[in-house]
Amino acid sequence: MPAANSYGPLLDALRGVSWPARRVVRGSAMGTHRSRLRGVSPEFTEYRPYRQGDDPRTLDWKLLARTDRAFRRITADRATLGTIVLVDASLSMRFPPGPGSKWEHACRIAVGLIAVAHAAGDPAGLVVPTPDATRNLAPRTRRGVIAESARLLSEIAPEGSAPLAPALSHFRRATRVAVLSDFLGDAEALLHAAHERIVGGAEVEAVHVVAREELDPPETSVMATDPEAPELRRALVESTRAGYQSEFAAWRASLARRWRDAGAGYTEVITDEPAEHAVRRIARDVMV
Amino acid sequence: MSFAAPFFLAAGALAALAIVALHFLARQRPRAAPFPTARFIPERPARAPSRALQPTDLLLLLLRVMAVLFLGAAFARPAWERPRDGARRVVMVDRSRAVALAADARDSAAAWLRPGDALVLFDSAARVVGDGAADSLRAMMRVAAAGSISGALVAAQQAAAGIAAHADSLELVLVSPLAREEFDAATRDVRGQWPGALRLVRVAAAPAARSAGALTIRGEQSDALRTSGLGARPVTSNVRIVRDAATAGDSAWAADSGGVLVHWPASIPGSDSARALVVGNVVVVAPFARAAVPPGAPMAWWEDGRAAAVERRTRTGCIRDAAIGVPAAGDLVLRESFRRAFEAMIAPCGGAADTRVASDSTLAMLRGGAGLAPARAWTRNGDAVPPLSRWLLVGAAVLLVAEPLVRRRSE
Repeated sequence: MPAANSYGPLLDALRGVSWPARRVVRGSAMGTHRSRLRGVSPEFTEYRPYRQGDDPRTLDWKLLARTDRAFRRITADRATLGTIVLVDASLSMRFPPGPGSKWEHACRIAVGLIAVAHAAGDPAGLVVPTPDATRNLAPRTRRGVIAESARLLSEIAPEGSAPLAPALSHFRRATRVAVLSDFLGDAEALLHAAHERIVGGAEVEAVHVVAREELDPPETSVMATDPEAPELRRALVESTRAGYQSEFAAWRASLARRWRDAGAGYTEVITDEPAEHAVRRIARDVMV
Repeated sequence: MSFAAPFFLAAGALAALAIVALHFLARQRPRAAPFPTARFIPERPARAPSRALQPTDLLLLLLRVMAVLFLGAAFARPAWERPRDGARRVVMVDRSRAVALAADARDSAAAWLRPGDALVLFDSAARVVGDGAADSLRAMMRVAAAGSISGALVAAQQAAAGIAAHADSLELVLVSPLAREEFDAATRDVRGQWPGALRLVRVAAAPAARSAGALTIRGEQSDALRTSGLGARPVTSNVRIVRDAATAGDSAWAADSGGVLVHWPASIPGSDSARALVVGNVVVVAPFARAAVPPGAPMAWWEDGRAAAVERRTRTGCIRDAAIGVPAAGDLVLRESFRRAFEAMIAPCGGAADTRVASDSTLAMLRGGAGLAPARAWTRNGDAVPPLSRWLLVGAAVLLVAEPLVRRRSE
């Protein structure tokens, strides 16, 4: 896994990147995302005729003096968006073994997303389920959140197969959740929980981390063993390679469709793609 | 080293080559490796063909190749070749009653016997002389028994097997008067077992016996054998018929004089009886009282196959025990069949001698074809498993037992 102090180039590359919300947010705290509220910000939107009961502070007094007509000056507010990054730390993320694993890539993307959210003034936090306990950092806007997140991730080694779905209910006040996973664990339960959060008004971004070796398996014949279910052993040989690639592609396509149908964003990230590119793609992928 | 069946050696080598080739091409279980998306791989048999350019499991390959080579070598029947020294002889020397003078046979045999040759002394039985053949030949004495060339030929095969490993070929020499009585129905077949020619060295035969013997019957004066006139028949050897209990003196007489002692009790105890007696080719049908006879070589039988009379050899003669009850009354002893049976009972030890020389055709049969017998006929016995083959088979078995263990570890 990357060392906590090795994210400098990544953070430099992500400077200035924004991660706007998919829709207007409810928050009242001043931020960068379009708010559902209309207030007194300098950003003019429209005039509306004044009606009895409206807040007289919104009256455009200059217009009233010039034209003797009472109009309200409507402005759009900006709000913050609490963001949580949920990272899958199951054993399957430790693939391929050694540098360049899915876990390493997920850590970089997670730190990158937290950095982007933090730069926009959004409270950002981290949740990592492990077999022992769920490690987390509550969403905060204070300085040091990025370093704490990097440190927390550096302390964790992928193992076991802790479910992600229960962790999705952490920090329900956070209205944006990014899920970084290979979705080989409790994919169905996770999708169900994500759907509930979406219905509840949250934004969910599914980031599917896929290893290049999973897309293009090596030509050598191996007895493929699922690290989370050792009893599952299949011969990955010349005669089964094409079938595997077809099955895997179909599953990924189905997964993407189902997440998007549930109202979530879905981004597939390959381990050989630079993390800053992946973060930009995740942020840009959102419909503004 | 030589191989009796080199084809198996070549077959083993080919099988080993095939194993080496298959080791690189065989369907083998791929190595296990973690793969999180293994669930998307179609289910197929766990074994898959893989062509390995670098040899793996060298110990397993070595075990398999060695096992096959050992098996091939074992079935090829390897044998260590010992240095051979030309031809050797198997000398058969007759010492039976057909030989006139034992010294003649000794001298003739000594002329043919060389160091390392095998010696077979025979009369009615044959004996292979291993070490000290010359001494045994010098001490050879003539015996009263009839000779058996068939027995001598069988013993010669045994002697040949003992010396064949040291010779390229074997010569068979027979020193004998070649009397007719020494041939029997088995002689031709037994002779056929010897793959080479037989050299005949004829010595003088004993003269035909004349009526020089005496027949005495010790018993009651009213004994049927005596009163019927059977007791007055001319005989060629001394015969003593004892109709009462035999004494130590009788046995000593039979041993020293070379005569025939017939212990033929006049009264047979018990109620056992028989209806026919067979002696040689003579059948006597009459009610006989009978009893058990002591151990010995049967020479007369009852109709149910039990022995009626037996013969035992002494040093120079023989003792016959007959348990044949001869009725005191009646005309049994006067019948021609009984007379011939009686003559057989008092015949010289080993039967009547016939020392006439065998016919030319018989001698030609005995000589057989030309040439010496190859020693390989005995050293390459098809049924015997060479010791080296046994060890190779044991080695192959050990390797085959170890192979699955090593395979399990490598998997």
